[in-house]
Amino acid sequence: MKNSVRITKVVCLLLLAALISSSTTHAVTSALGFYWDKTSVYCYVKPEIRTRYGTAVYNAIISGITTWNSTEAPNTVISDDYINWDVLVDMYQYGETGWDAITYHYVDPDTDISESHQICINSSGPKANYLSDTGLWKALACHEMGHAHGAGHNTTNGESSILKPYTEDYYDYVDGYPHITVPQPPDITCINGIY
Amino acid sequence: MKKSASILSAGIIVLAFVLILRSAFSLTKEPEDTVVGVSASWSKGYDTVEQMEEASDIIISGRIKHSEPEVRENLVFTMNHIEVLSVHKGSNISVGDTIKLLQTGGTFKGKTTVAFSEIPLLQEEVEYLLFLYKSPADKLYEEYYLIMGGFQGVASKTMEGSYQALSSANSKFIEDSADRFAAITTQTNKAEKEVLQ
Repeated sequence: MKNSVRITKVVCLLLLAALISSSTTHAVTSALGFYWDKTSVYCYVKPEIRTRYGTAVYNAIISGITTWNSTEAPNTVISDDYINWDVLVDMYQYGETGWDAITYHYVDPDTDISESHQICINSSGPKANYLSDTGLWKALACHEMGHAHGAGHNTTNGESSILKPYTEDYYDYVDGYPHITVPQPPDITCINGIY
Repeated sequence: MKKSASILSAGIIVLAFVLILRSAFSLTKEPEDTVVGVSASWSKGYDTVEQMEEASDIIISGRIKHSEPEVRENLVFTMNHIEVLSVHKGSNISVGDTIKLLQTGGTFKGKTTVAFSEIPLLQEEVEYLLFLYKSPADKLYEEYYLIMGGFQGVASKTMEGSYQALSSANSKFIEDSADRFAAITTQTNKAEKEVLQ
C-alpha cells in the first residue's frame, strides 16, 4: 500500500515537472504569413560577391543560407542559374542605412505562397572593418534566409534567436557576444510550424 | 526577291545579336510580382528612450521641405531635406537649419523600392520628433542623418499637439519610457512656442 502511494507521488511529481517544463519552453519566433509551396528552393548567390569581398565571405553567406536545411524548411539548393532562382543574394556598399541586410518578399497575395525573395546585404558602415569576421556574414545570411522562409522577428527579451530585430542582439561583431550564426530553438519551432 | 531575303536575314541576325547581348548583360531576372513586404536586420536598437536620447547626435522637431530619390546600387532611397523647428539636443544645429535625413525606399524613373512597414517614408506637411545620428564618414556618400534604432527614433505630431510613435513596432518601446518621452516632447513643444513668439 505504502509502495503504491510512493509510486503515485513520484508519478505526480514527474507529471508536475513535465507540466512546468512544457509551460516554460521557449516562445516561438513570429511568422510573416507566407511560405514556400515546394520542397526545394534555388538560391543564386551573386558571384560578384566573391570577386568583391573574397571567397571566405562568399562561402560564409552560402553557409548561412543553407543552415535552415537542418529544419523542416524546403531544402535550399545553391544554384548558378541566374535566371530561374527563388532567392537572390546580393551584397553592396549602400552606405550607412540603419540596416545591415534586408529581404524583399515577392508573394502571391491571394495564396500567401512565396514567388521569390531578394536579399541585399550591406557591407558599409562599421561592418566594413569586420570583413574577415565570416561569422557576421553567415549570421546575416541566416537571418535573412529565415525571413525568406517566412519567419519574422523574435522580440522576446532574453531569448536566444537568430531572428532578433537588431544584428547586435544575435551577432555583436564589436563586443563579441552574442555570436549566433545558426537558427535557435524558437526559430526552428517557428519554421517547423510553417512547414 | 533576293533583296528582301537578304534584308530578312540581316534582320534575323540583328535580332539574334540583340537577344544574345541582352542575355549576356542581364545578370538576373527582376521579379514582376508585387513586393508585399520588406524585412530587415537593423543595425542597432535601444532598450529605453533614455538610452536612445543619450546616443543621439541630435534630437529635433522638424518638417520636410523637400525630398529627392537617390539610387544606390539596386535600391532606391529617399533623401529628405528637413527644416529644423526646434532643437532638443545638438550644439551645432539651430532652428531654421536644414538637415538631410536618409530613408530606405522611394521611386526613381519608374523603379520603386518599397519602404519598411515599421518606418514608412516621412510625409510632407507632417511635423516629426526625430532622434538622429550622423552617418560616419564615407568615401562614397556625403554626410547625412539617420533615424536612431532603425524605426525607434521617430514620432509624428498629432492634431492635439502631442507626439505619437510612427509605427506600432515603436509604440511599446515608447510606452516603456513614457515619462522620459513625455518630458522630451513637452520641452520640444515649449521650444517651438518660444521660437514662434
